[in-house]
Amino acid sequence: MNAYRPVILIPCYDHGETIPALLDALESVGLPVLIIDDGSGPETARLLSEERHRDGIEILTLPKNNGKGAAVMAGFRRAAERGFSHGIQVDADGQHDLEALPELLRLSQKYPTDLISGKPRYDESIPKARHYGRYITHIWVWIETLSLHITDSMCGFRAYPLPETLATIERKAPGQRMDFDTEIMVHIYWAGCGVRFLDVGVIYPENGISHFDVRRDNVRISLMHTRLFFGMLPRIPKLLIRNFQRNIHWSAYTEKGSVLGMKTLLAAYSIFGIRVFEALMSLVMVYYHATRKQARSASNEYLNQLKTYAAAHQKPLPQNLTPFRHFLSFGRSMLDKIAGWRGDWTMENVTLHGLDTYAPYLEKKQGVVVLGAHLGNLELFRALSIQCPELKINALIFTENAARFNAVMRAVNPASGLNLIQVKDMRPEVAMNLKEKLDQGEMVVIMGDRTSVSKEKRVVYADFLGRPAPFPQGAFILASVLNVPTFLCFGLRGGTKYKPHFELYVEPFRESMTLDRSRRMEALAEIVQAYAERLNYYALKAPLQWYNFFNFWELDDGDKNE
Amino acid sequence: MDALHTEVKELIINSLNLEDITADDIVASEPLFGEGLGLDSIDALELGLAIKKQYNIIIDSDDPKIREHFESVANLAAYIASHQAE
Repeated sequence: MNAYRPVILIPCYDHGETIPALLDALESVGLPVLIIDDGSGPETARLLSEERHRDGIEILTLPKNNGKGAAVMAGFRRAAERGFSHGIQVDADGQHDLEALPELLRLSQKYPTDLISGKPRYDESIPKARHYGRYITHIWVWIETLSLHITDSMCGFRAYPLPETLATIERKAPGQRMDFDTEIMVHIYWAGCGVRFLDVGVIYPENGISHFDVRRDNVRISLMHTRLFFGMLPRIPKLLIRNFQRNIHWSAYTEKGSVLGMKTLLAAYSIFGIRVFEALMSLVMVYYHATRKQARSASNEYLNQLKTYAAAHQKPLPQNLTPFRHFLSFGRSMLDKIAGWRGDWTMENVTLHGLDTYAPYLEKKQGVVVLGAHLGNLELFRALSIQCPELKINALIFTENAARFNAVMRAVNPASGLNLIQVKDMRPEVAMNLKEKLDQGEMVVIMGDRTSVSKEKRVVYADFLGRPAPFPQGAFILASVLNVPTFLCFGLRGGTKYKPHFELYVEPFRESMTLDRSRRMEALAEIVQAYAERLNYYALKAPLQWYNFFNFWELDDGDKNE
Repeated sequence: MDALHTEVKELIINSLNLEDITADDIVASEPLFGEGLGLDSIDALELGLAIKKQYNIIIDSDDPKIREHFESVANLAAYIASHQAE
């Protein structure tokens, strides 16, 4: 391997004023510097020529102004000619905090074929419009790379590996101007090179010159994203494989694994709407289906159990119950959550069943516990419930995985974070807290069906689809000690693919559940069995809306997720 | 403090329906859970709720010493007393 020989590249167009200070600051690093004068006016040309005397400086003067991208690329070629291995790009206006330079060099030497980029840590001097502009670009880049890996694509503080970069440029010339930084990074990522980030302080200098022409450059940037979007399409399989090779475990499955996909899908949905979302989501699910062996076999296990049970009890089932369609249904439920929090689905898309059984409790402000399940989509109803101010729904979340999912939801609607009660364990303070909410007449939703993710060891077995399955004790014990009326609630999706209609079933479960010391376990087993029977009933109604993608009938030993 | 100890003991006995036990059987400094009195996690929940009801106290979930507060009658009483003082 060739030696590590970096050179600092400074594209400069009429930034003469800031150059001397920048060069002074760079002197301590002791690296050769290549300034690319991008056809600057006489003033800057004069200032630059005054710097020629410095050690290790070369000034490459381009005959006319072609834009930052063109200047940097000219710098790459010149640097390669001179035998340098890496081009370290620093903006001429002095906006980058050079304290990050040693770390940039260290990373680039350590990962010589990767693009290393600064990721700005802005102070408060950033103009708002630019801040939002950056966010839109983030979303685009996530789509273009089908990944959240690139967390900043606009920072001009970078270490480029020259051979890889030049090869990429030869294949496809990126934009010459403000579109350059983003486009080259996406192309380098597409080429399979690593992209790494480090934090860098950035300030917008008060008297700095920005060459950003809002109208012209925004058009340019939109065109670039259009190019990149179409460039992404044929690369979908490759990009997806790359994502999943890197860091996805569908472990602790549904929530964690889906977040990365979800953010991308969320962006796709926000920009293009439901049809494009469906198309992309189907592709993602094709991939999941092909590669998530454990989830697929869990789905198979469930569907077979369901079919066996339905046959034995002469229950009708829809045709085509396959793991793939099961996955698709899961993908759609994610969209529904997003759409619900965005306000795209409203109460008009919902039919309520049995709400009259709850109405009296609501009226006299009697708090109730609702036992839910990962069947159908209760999150959607939580989203819709914010349209009914008198109804206050608290949801108890037992897992850490849900935290990531909730972070995505908060990006859609900050209100989604309200009334989520995150707990690791069933502890006295949790009960006290919930009781407080119930005393105020609120509703507390607890999921009664999940054992795998919480690694719950304390379980109660109850028959589900004709076979004993472990249910978490914690949920039911909590519901019983809270000593308020309990309800069951299932939100199922109907309607068509693009125009869903939801059915929300509410039914009273127990007026009170007491676990007498003398026969606690029997009492608990009775309660759980009654719950499992209703779960059974609704699972037959909407078989593909069962979102527990782990073997439901076996206790996870807690190691399988690795 | 002794009065509060007795009060907490009574609260434990009544809220958990410990029929065969009297306040005198409970040693204030001994662990309530596991060994000692041998209460379990369900009892812990019930006890938490009983304390909330009687003293109108809610323990902050971020309080790192929750486990300690529930360790013994003495600790519980101290916690309740500190709250009542506020």
